[in-house]
Formats: sequence, C-alpha cells, structure tokens
Amino acid sequence: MTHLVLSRLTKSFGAAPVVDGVDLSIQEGEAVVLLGPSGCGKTTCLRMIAGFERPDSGEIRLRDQVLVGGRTFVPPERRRMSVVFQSYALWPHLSVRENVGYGPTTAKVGRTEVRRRTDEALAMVQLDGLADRYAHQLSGGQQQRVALARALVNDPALLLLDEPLSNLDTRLREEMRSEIKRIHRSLGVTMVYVTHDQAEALSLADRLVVMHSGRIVQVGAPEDVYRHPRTSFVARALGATNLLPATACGPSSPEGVPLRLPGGITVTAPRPADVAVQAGDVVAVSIRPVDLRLSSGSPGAAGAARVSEALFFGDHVQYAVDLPGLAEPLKTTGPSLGRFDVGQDVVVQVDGTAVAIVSDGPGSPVLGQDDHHPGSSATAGAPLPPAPAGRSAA
Amino acid sequence: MTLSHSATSTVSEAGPRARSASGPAGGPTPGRAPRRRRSTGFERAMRVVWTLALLALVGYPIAQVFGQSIVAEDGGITLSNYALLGTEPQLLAAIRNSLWIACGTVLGSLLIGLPLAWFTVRTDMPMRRFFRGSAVLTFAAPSFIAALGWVLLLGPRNGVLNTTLMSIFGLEESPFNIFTAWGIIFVLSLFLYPLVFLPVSAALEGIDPALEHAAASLGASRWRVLRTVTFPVIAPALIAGAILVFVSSAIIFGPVAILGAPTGFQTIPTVLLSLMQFPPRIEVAAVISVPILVIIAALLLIQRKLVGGRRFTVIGGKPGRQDVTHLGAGRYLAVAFCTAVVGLSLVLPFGMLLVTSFRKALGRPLGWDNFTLTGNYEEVFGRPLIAAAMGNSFALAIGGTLLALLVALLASWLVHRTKARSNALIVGAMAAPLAFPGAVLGIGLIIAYAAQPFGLGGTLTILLIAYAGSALPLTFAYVHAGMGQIGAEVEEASRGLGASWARTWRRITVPLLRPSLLAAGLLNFVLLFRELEMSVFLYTGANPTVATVLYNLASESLYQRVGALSVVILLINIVVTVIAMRLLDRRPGESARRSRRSPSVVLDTPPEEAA
Repeated sequence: MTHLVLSRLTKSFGAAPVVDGVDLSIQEGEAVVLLGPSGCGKTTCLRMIAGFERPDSGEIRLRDQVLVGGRTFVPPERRRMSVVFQSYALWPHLSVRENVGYGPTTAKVGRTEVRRRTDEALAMVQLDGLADRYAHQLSGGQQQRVALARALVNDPALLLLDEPLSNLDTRLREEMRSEIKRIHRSLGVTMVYVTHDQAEALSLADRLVVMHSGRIVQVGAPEDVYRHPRTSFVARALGATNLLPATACGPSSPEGVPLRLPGGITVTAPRPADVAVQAGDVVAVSIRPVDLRLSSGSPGAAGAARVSEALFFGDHVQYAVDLPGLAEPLKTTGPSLGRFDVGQDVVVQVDGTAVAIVSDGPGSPVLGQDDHHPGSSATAGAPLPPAPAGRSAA
Repeated sequence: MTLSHSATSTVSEAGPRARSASGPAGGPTPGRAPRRRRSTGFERAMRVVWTLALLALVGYPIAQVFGQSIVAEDGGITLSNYALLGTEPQLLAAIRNSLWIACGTVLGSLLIGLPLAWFTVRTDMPMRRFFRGSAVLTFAAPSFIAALGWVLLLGPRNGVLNTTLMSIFGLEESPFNIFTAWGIIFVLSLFLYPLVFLPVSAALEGIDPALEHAAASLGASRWRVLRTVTFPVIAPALIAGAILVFVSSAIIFGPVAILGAPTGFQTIPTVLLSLMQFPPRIEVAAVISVPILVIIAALLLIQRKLVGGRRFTVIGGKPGRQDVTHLGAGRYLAVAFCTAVVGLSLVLPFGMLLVTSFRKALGRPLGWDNFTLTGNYEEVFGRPLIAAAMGNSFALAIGGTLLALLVALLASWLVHRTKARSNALIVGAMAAPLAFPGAVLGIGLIIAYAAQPFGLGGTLTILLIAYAGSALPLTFAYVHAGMGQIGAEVEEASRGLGASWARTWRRITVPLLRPSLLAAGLLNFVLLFRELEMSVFLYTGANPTVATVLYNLASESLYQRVGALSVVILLINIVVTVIAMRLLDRRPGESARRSRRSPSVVLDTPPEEAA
C-alpha cells in the first residue's frame, strides 16, 4: 500500500535550487535510502518530510492526508514522524530514560504506560541497564541507540534517519547498520534513510534512490542499481569503478550489445534500459574493479596490459594496469596469493554481464581525456535520466 | 574594573574556545619531562620573576587584607575583630543594602536581557544586528557616567524628565526619584543586563537545532519545546550570567556612590570608602572585606563550573540554522521594547550629559539664551587640575596595560612552553583578581604600600600597581588563548632553522600574538582610563585621574562641567574602540572572520580554560 508520496517537490535557498522537482512514493513498511553527495538535496528532502522545512512548491501526502500542498502545512509535531539526527540530538539535561520517555510523556499516556513503552524501547536497542545515565556518560554507539529508541518509542508512522551513523567509527558503524536492519525487519516500520555512504545505502535499502543536484537520478533495488547504473554519476556513487569508452561492434540483440573495449577486448553487455545503441556508436561503460580479472599473458593478446602499481592490503591486492589506448590506468583487485608485480605483463578479462552501458549527456567529464565522446552519438538524444526514473517509481 | 573583567570572560566563554595542545594538564611529571628549547635555569628564573610580579601586584596586598583582619590592637593575633561585623549597625545595613541591590539588579537584568536575547537571536524582528551591537556597546560604556546622566534626567528637583512629566500631566510632585534603592537598581540593570544577554544569546545561537526538532517530531508543541528543551539547555548560561550580575552589582562603587549619597544609602563598597576616610578604621574595612572575598570567589567558581560543565554541554552537534519565530505584528512591540532599552541605557543618559555640557546654568530651562558652545569645555580644560588628571589617566592606563601585558605574556609562556605541575596554578592565579572588588584591592594596596617602608600613599606608582593588577585576568585571558592557538611547532621550526630564542620571539611569536595583544591592550586602556573603583580609594588629593575629578565635580554638583568632562572621556573611549575595531578587522585569517561576525571585536577573543 502506498504510504508516503512526494510529488514535484522543490525548495531553494536563495537563488540556488536545492531540491528540484522530486517525485517519489514509498510503500508501507519499506526501507528507502536516499543516497548522494553532500549538497544533493537528500537531507533537505528528509527535513521537508519531517516538517522542518517548508517546500517552495509540490505536495507531500501521508496515506490519505495531505501534509504539505497548497495552503496546507501540518507542523512537525502533528506528523507522527520520528527523526534520528546525525548529531543524535540527545537532550543533555535529561537522563536516558527521560529522553526516551519524552514522546509518550508529551502524548500524556499515563505514567505506567510511559514506563512500559520506555523500557520496551530501551530493551529493543539493548540499553536496559543504562536508563539513568546522561548522554555525556555514554559512548557514541550507545548515544546512537538512545536516539533510535527515542524515535521508535512513539510507534511513528515514518522513521526518518539523517546520516545517523556518520559520527561513529567503522566498527561501530557496521554494528549499528545490522542493528537498524534488524529493528526495521522486526518492527516493519516505514523508513527513510539519508546517507552518503554507499555501503550503508546498499545494505539497508529495500529501494535505493540516488540523488544529484536536487534531482533523483535513479531508483531501484540496490543490486539492480549497483549492477546497472544508468549514468556514470550513479556508477561512481555506488563504489569504485572504471569508466571507459567502448564501441558497439554489432547490432543490439535480446542477448545484449556487442562491444569492443580498449585493448581489443570484446564482450556482450546487457542492453541499457533507456538508451538505444546502434552499431558503430561510441558509448561509455562502467566496470567495477572486482569484475576485472588478471591472468598472466604476453603482449599482443586481446586485453594485454602491464601492471603499473600493486598495493598489498593483506586479504587482497589493488592493481593499476596500463591498457593500450587508455590514458588512465584500469583499477582492479586480485587475491593476495599469486599476486602480480609492477611491470609484469598481464591479460585483462571481463565478463559481459559486469559491463554497464551508462548514458551521460554531452559535456560529461567522464571521457573528457580522449576523442571518444558519447555525446556525439545516439546517446545525445537520450532523455535526461531523472524524469523517467521518478515516474516509474510513482 | 574587576566587574568588567569577569564579564568579559563569560561573554567569550560562549564563543569558540582555544584548546591548547601543550597545556599543563597533559604534560608528564616535571622530573621526567623532556627539557626542550630552554635551559632549566632560565625557566626557573622566569618562574621566579612571574611569582614576584604577581605577589607585588596582587598577592601581597590581598594577604595584607587578611592579615589586618586578624591583628589585635596590641599587635597580637586575634579573631575578635570579626565580632565587629555583628556590632556595627552601619556594616549590617550596608551588607543588607548590597544584597537588596544585587537581587533587584539580577531580576532587572533578566527582565531586560532574556527578551532581548530571544528577539535578536530567534525571531524575525527587524534591526537585530543593531540592537545586538548596542548591547555590546552598553557593556563597554561607563556606568558611573551614565548614573550622572540619570541624575540630570530623574533627579527629584531638577530632573529634566521629571519636570517635563510634571508640566505635561500637571503634577505637584516629581514622579520619579533616582536617589533611591529603586533608582540604583534601575540604572544598574540597564548597564549590567549585557552580562545576561551575551551568554544567553550565545547559548541560544549555539543550540543544535536538532535538539528542538527532535522534540517537535515527538509531538511537542512549540511552547512545550521552549519549556522542556530550549530553556533547560540555556539555563546554565543564564545562571552563570545572573551570578556575574549579582557579584558585580553587590560590589560596584560608582553608580551607588553617586545615587546613594544624597540619602546616605550605603552598600559594601561605599561603606568601605567611608571607613577608609579620616579617622581610618582599617581593621574594620579588612574584616568586612574577607568574607566578601570568600563569597565572591565561591560564586565565581560556581559560575565557571556552570559554563564549563559537561552535563549541559551539547554533544556532537554542529551549529546549524536556527529556527526563526515569526512574530507577525508582534515585531513592532519587540522593536519598541529593544528601542526602549537602547534609549534608556545609552541615548538618554549620555545624550543628557552632552546637552548639559552646552548649558550655561543648570537651574534655568533649556533654550538659546542658556546655550554655550564652548564655555563649559573651556572651563574644564582651563583648570590645571583637570589637565593634570588627563595626563595622569593617559599615563596610568598605558602603563598599567603594558605592565599587565608583560606579566600575562610571561605567564602564558610558562603555561604553554614549559612543563611543570605548578603551571595549573599560574592559570588560576592570573584569574584570581576577578574575585577582588576594586574597593578591596584598593584597601589592600593602601595597607601594603601606603605607609613606610614603601611610602607610596597617593602616588602614581600605587595607582599603577592597582591598574596593572586589576587588568591581569582580562589580559591573560586574551594572551593565553592566543598563545594556545600558536603551536609550539612554529617556534620550534624557527629554532630549527637556526634562529635564537629572542629572534624567534621577535619574528614569530609576538607577530602571531599581535591580534590578542592588541585586543587586550586596547580594551584595557578603555577600562583603565576611566577607572574609578580603586582610584577613589587611593586618591589622597595629589595625582588626580579623570574619574576621580569627575566624581568630585559630581559631589560638588557642578553638572555642566560633569557633562563636558564626561563627553570628553566618552569621546576618547569611542575613538580608541573604533581604532581597535579597525586594527583588528584588518588582520587576516581566522581571527578576522571571528571579529566580523561579532559587533565587538574586543570582546570576542576566547579566554583561558578554567583552571
């Protein structure tokens, strides 16, 4: 059932648009993650959903109630949405119990009920023993748990999380990530989660929303967006990747598009969803470093290259390899056993399913270093990604 | 003097703090500390010089106050002097009056400072910056001169406001009398409210907006958010400010002396002055000073704890955009309130003095026949006494400032660049004069230095010692903070390239410290130039200063000359302040950005961490 709908939401601070026509609908019980670099408008979206910012135009609906639209503006305290803030925002003058009990106390549910709900929420985040402490007596992870308990205690219609893990160290972050996942699964609460961390985004999302410059650029299941980024921006937003030019060397077929990559490698890549590729077109492709395999080989073979850098990380080795015809070295990783040395001749191989054709508009810096410009080909006529993405979600 | 010092440190405590990497706390024990840069002998010598300087300026006089309070008439040691506290009705009345004035002024300052802070920080009231700047200006304005202005406005017989109101409403009697306890509370509240306003508005600005948003998203109404989140979070700043107002108003001399004199209303500092006049009863003065020192020190310690307390510190929040309350039509009410505050604290009293300085006679109504452009000024400058006072005040303010800067530089060098367990003591000792009311320090100096073997009574030297000693806390706060921001590494880099220690100081350390030195120096000059609290105790007839001359002119009711001299003093204050702003604004980098953000450059440099 559709739970929350944002339609044509815009907001600017001064002259600069921060959110520029966002359409999104969220199902009940779904975990939606907004991913993007700082300044892409994801936090402003969240704050508009919570009611801390007033959109310039557009509409927000929760179930059948209009929260914002036309002359309507429901203030934050009447939206039944809980927010977990990046800074945790625990009240320093209240104990853990008083922090968590603030919601039920405000709702005037009676002392025993406040206590029951508070205890329940604290148990859920495994903080039963620390109820009488103050925020400054807790570790960062514990503070985060209190903030989570405080947000969950009122049984919110929507749980909003604004980069909640970015103040934690790596180990705690991983721990809290699975904690949030567990709580979401067990409570089934609808969740909007804002982050710039691709690992958080990929692991927590039921549906991933990638944002750029105030617009949604791609929406989909995390795996799908990871495997089939529509633009180089999305490809890079979800982790390290190699962006290279490729030439279509045959007509598209249901099996895919036959491509010739630099270094003479030929593959059949999956057909992109929204770009028609003709034989002879030059396109941009994204290939993740882990999907490139190195094997020993001699110069002259297809995909022959030379290792220019090898960094040992214990469990794996990171390589940079020079492929003839490419200005930038390819990034790839390999097992630490049987590693290659700098200067060694290798052969690069890649599976066609790991190659994603991305559509980047003219002027994109991706392939600026050589004369292969995707903008000069059929992709130039491709529609801008955000619009279809947003609509298909709605 | 002392008042302004304590005030300044609170103001800036709310601002960015300097955290010194090389502070004393983290250092290893002195025995095992690696000795770098300086030889042990040099360090020891510096430590001795600093200790002697501090003892001479502050330690010895204050010790003398304690000593005098337990000396019996026959020269033995006794506690029986303290029995005087119970038997002298004059003392009890003064203490009661001080408490009454202090409580009233705290209430008055809260009533002015809190709404003003909220209006200027969290609403869409127009002219917010202007009102904010005015509050800071008020803080730097001399309150005893303002009290003189209020005498002219609300004096029971000839007060201009009183006579105006009487003629408008056809009253038989003047509606207000400034020569009452209420009048004193009124004037003090208008001048001490910045002590509440500045920390509270800084706290309101510094709250992580998420704290309030979190409450709103949990269903709390705006009023409930204000009551359960905003107010408790700013409460420590509020209480700390209120403590400063309490202490300051209980021991302030100038306005109370001027407004209390006609009815013989005395508070602690004025009764202390009368005890020091002929025949002097120094042991009584000492006996009343000691408990006051103890109480003030305790209150200031509490205040520091509150400001630095961890329990109330907002954790991990980045200051964001605060929610602004839209006042609607209420904006005009807010502007009216703020305008009234500025009018009452600055425009009316100082404006009245300006007007008076152009009057021929006080008794006759305002008008062209009662106008003289230069008459009063000629009168003022024509008198050799006043010319001498000007010279003395200039020399003393500059000398006191420089001496304090030297001691402060030495102290902060010891704290930041040497490792010894006693370094923590230095920080505490440099802040200690905050707890000494000008009256008490003055009495201590008289006991210590006035008689033989020093024989400094009434000399410029004793005034210089007084000025320098009282300027120490403020000066040290600036220099210490500035030094904390200069890592030892920049000095080591210079030394590593072959520069001597002296050259390193001249080329690296002092230039980097320049903004702090300049800010401390200029602010001290402004405050010391018009110093009254101690001068009035140390004044014996020779060596007048502008403040004592002004005070005497007021006692003789020569108000046209009071007006003219006040205008001159204020002009000098303003000129120096403007120069300070110009100089400090021109410096590059972090400090310049900080100074632009605040209307008061000089009040915005971070002070030392509490010891």
